[in-house]
Amino acid sequence: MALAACAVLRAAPASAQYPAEVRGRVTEAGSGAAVAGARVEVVGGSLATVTAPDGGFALRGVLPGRRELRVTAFAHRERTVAVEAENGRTAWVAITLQPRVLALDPLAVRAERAAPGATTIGRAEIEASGAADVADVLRAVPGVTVTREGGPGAPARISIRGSSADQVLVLLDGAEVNNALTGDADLSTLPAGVVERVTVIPGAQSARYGGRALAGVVSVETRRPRGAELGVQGAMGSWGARSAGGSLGGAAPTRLGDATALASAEWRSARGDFRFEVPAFRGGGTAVRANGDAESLSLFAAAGLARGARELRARAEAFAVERGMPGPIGQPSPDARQEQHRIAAGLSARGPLLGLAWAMDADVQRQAAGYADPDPPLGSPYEDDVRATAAGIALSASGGAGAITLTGGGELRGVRFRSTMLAPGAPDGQTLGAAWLQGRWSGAAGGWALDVTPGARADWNTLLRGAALSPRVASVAARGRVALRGAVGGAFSPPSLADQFFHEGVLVRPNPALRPERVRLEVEGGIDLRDVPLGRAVLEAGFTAFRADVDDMILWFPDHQFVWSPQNFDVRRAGWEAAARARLPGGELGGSVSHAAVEYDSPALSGQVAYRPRWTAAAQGSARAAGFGVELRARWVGERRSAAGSELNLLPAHWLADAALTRGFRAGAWGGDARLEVQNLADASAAMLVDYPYPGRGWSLGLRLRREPRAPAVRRADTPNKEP
Amino acid sequence: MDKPYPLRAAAVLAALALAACEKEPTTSEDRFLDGARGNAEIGIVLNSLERSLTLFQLGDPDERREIAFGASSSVTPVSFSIRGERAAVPLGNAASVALVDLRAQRIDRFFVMPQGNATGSAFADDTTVLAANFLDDYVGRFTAGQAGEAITQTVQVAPAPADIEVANGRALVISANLNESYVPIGNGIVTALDPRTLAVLGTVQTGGTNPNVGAMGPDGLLYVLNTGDYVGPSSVTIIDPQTLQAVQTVGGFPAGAGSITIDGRGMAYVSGYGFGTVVWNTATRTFVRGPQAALCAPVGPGGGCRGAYEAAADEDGNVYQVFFGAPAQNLPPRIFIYDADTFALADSLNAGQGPTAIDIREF
Repeated sequence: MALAACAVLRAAPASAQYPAEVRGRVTEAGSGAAVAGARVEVVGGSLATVTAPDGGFALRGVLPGRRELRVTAFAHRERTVAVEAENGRTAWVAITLQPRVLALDPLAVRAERAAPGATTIGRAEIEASGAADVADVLRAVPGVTVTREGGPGAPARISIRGSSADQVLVLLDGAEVNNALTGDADLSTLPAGVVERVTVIPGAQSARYGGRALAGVVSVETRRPRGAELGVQGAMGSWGARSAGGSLGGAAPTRLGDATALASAEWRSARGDFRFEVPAFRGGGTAVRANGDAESLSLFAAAGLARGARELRARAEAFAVERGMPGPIGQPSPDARQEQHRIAAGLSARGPLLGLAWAMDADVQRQAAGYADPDPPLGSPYEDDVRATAAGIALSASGGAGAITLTGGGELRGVRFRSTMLAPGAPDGQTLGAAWLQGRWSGAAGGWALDVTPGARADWNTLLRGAALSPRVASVAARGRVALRGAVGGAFSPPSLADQFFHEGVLVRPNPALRPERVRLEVEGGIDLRDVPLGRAVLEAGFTAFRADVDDMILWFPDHQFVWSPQNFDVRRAGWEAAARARLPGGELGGSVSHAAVEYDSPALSGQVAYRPRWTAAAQGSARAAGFGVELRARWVGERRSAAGSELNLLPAHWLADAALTRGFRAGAWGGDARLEVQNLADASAAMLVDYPYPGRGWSLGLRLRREPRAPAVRRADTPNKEP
Repeated sequence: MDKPYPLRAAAVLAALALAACEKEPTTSEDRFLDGARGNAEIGIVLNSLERSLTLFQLGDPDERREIAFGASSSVTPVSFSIRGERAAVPLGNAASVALVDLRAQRIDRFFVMPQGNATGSAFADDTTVLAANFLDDYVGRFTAGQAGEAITQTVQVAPAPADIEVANGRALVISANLNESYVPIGNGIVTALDPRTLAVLGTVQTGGTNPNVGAMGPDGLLYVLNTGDYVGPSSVTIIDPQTLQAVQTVGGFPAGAGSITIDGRGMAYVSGYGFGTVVWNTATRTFVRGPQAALCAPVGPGGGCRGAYEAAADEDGNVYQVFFGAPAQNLPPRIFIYDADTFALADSLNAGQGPTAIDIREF
């Protein structure tokens, strides 16, 4: 008996499951040409991707065991191949497809092809990172700066390549979640627990996504039902941080197709009373942040029905947070509170009809927020609320012949809002309409696989005069392990209603005459290296340079009467990003450096726009051995000017490093992992905003348990795995 | 080949001389406040947006120094006071006062109020400073060498105290007399205090609403500028600090006048962002350059007026006027200089970001 117990205990770490990675290349039988744009999906799961111009693909987060990949491509016959996904390792598979000459069944391209230069973070990586919300997920993406106003649960906003937060469009399953009034998105209200994957597409993307996509798009896809599963997790940590959650999923074949369902819930709470260093001119020493607590609840449910290339999916999501607004440390607000609620539902349908591949997404969303301070340090007591209801529908169809694919679509969205923060007479709603067309040509020349994607979109908005037309042409040339990228395009971001119509106050004034911000011509180029062997390591690297001047960027500045108001300024914006990742036996090393010069183009103001770091960097490493995993992450943010047109009073640069120790385990049908993390390892003083300090060193301990169906019995693959 | 001894000696001497030169910057910093050769005057500009104090030599305006107050956006200074080589700079929403050593170009200490908005200040003596809290309606007193940084000795004054002047052993606190919505309750009020004890010696109403600033004339009288409602004309009320009587209220100043400074000859420079600067003789109580001929830098060749936040005169009577800047119109902040004799626009200087106050003096 004791021997058996010992055997179980010893066996546990050995059978710990780590997600595997499957990489490969899809080529055409006979010609050997790369098949670009082929969809590769794991049969019975939700993992899927689309091949690059060189035919290459990568699937991360694959459950170890024997898996079947279904490959579909335009003008080729569908094929299913088997592959061995090994525990924590990368499998490589070569897949050939037979060309199909006849008129084709429509392709089911469920996931839109990620734009060149995009970064996708999948479910497995999100879970492994211990992220609490989407802000945490994005903190190391090259070119992305996340500004959190304090400790756990505090509001967090994103900047891409030195943009303002309202110049980044954030989508939740295709529906905009940017605040209807302020135009920016609080990423702390998007819990990581409901996320299947996050894709960051930097650059001027209005040609496909419309307004706000001036500096980039963050597309958050909620979890897809994977079949039968049961999971629970909990965590605790510094400053009273607690969390608990669980998910339950199931699958069943029905007469109409394969039905799947998933439901999850997560609760988080934190006191947020961390200690911080007080600046010298405020008396020095240390103090404890007050009124920084936060409590949130997230509920999510999704159901899907799939039959062949046809798919129907419904989802519902609710999120609520109640938290303190501690204010700047120079004028703390011990009584200021805010609460936010979001309830959203969506329906998606995809499938072939009349020789075209169709996609329809409809959503309805209601946001409510309340802000109150009965005894503010400055000014009069206030109690404000914002309520917004939005509904939208998007329809697209795709078809093609030969090397050319055309996709067109339209969107219609209505928003109604009510807020005590808006002045009387402010609009109470807006209607947005859009039509877009995107082409794609794939071919080859001189040994290079070429892919050119021109597109344009026209947007109408009842609050804007005329239509906004946003063009973009992107191209990729790939050969072997090298891919060259280039794009030119334009984008716009409308002024926020808050900037135009907020209640005028003492020394602040709205500006109804604001013009939309525009990137008239963005030029971007880059190079990617994939799967470059370096001894026992495999290297991936990428470099992107861009120039994307912003006309009429909206920034706050006082006028000659010292009355602050939003105004339009021309800004020059250019920079570059470099990232590299090396996969090593039993570990991984990676890092990135980004530079973004965002400078006033005005005789009156000069230099870097306030609060935009010119330099940011990140580095991470991980190692696995004997069932344990060790991770080290570090992020560096360069100094930032805090006053427009002045180099004085800079916010100092800072490093923040986190370390984590994980231990995977499995017992019967249950698997899971424990994670001990130390945040801000060096106890560094840091802040992204003046007077809003980050916490010092803290810790968290998390435990996840998951019951999943056993992997199918291992059989020999009909296409052997082999390294290229 | 070795250099001959005289050359080596010369090299050593040169190195010593260079070493001596390396120490020069420290000496130069110490001497900066003495001014340029032939002109000892120093201009001091408060850059509200940059949260800094800029010092420049009038004789060599490119020689300048900046003293920053910190990156916090709650640092919103709009005025300063000077005595000897010290400056007191109330930091606005930061509810604190920076005590600055102008010769060393460094902040010696910060003194803090519990909350509110620190606006005006004045030196009661070489080491004692009074500071007004605009939001919490009190004046606080601290000394340069006190043990802690908290401003604990306070006295309640009329609502919205904005400026303090000290004359003949009295501190004169100018209150705008506004309610919580910043609407005038009535005419402005000047509260006289004993700067040593903070005892209230008396009050007197100004002859207009919303006074935010005052200046002592060489005649020993206090000149309070009633800004008013920014629509109607502004006015100046002349107050006798000893009797606390309003001697006279003079109307006819342009709407929205927000600053008054008075030079040693009794010339008052009243500035506003809508009109520039008018020049008014405190002795004759008449305009030298009235509203129709205000000193104002044109917006462009087509005319228009840039306005001014404050103006001060140098020893010769040349007027230095700070223009806040209008980035939306691509007009950078500048210091405009007007000729002493003709008041013609003669020159302009870089002003840093958001200049709101200027003083000119010798140290």
